[in-house]
Amino acid sequence: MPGMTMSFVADPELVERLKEIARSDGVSQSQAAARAAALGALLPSAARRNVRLLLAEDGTDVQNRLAVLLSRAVAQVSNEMLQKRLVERSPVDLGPEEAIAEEAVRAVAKYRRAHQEQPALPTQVPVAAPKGA
Amino acid sequence: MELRVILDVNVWVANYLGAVRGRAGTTSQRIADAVFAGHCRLGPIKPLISPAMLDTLQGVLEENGLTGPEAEFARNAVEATTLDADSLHVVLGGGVQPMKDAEDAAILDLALAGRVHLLVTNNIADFRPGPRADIDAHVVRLDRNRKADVVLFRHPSLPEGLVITTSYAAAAWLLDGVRPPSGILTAFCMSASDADEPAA
Repeated sequence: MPGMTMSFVADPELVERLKEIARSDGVSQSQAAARAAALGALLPSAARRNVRLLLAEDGTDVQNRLAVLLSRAVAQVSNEMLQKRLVERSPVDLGPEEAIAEEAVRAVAKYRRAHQEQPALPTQVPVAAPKGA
Repeated sequence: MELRVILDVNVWVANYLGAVRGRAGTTSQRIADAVFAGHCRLGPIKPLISPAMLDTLQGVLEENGLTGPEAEFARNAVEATTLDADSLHVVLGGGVQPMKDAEDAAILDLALAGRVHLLVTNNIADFRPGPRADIDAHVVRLDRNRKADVVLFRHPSLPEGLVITTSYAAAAWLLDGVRPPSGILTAFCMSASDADEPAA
């Protein structure tokens, strides 16, 4: 994606965190910084002003709470977006919803059986016989 | 007090499989929505899920109508609901409960480690006391087919026990205001009743 370069000054703790994110997410440090900035830039001005104060708060309780709530919001919106996309491209199945739940159970059982047949790693617990065996 | 909940992988799968079938508002989807929102009629919900369950979820979704990136997106969304400082524990080893299915045993271990109150599943047969599950559990309620749909798993580390039930029963309690059977989730029902009381 074409972009522009912007440099900024950050405290060493944030720089370390961005390096860690870049490593774990497999992106460059500048991409990690740009994504984090993009999330903050989504916020309206009143929220941005309070974020500045929250980030300056001593201790991690406040920041942990903020991270939990932001994480939950990202999860909720992600689920809504994916559900909408899946529904839009699928014809409506008018069958009973119990059939969907049963199909989910069968799909999980089939997946587990397929993976239990693979050789167990030494650290794994002994695997029980597959269902229906 | 938060209601600590595990949704079995088959409930998470049914959440997305419903959408793949063009459906919205199925029971599994309604329960998943409540977990994503973080609250229900009984109060705040705190979900738990293990890395192994997330692996299974992603793998099953990839085989059932979602693309690889969509399955990973779904996995990340579910995982993000559990990112709470004191729920970030990994159950190592696992599977010590005498269950026929190792992954179901690991779910019980996760419930013990996370002091979970409620396990919701679309396949309660796996948790009914019997040959498949030689666990200290008793049947609390039978459904109209005379099969257990509410089971209480007892363990010293869970003072009130772990309630294991179907997605339909859970939706009735968590979303529709139906009271659970006597002695089940009592602390949460009391706090929900208190919240409904008009202020003095």
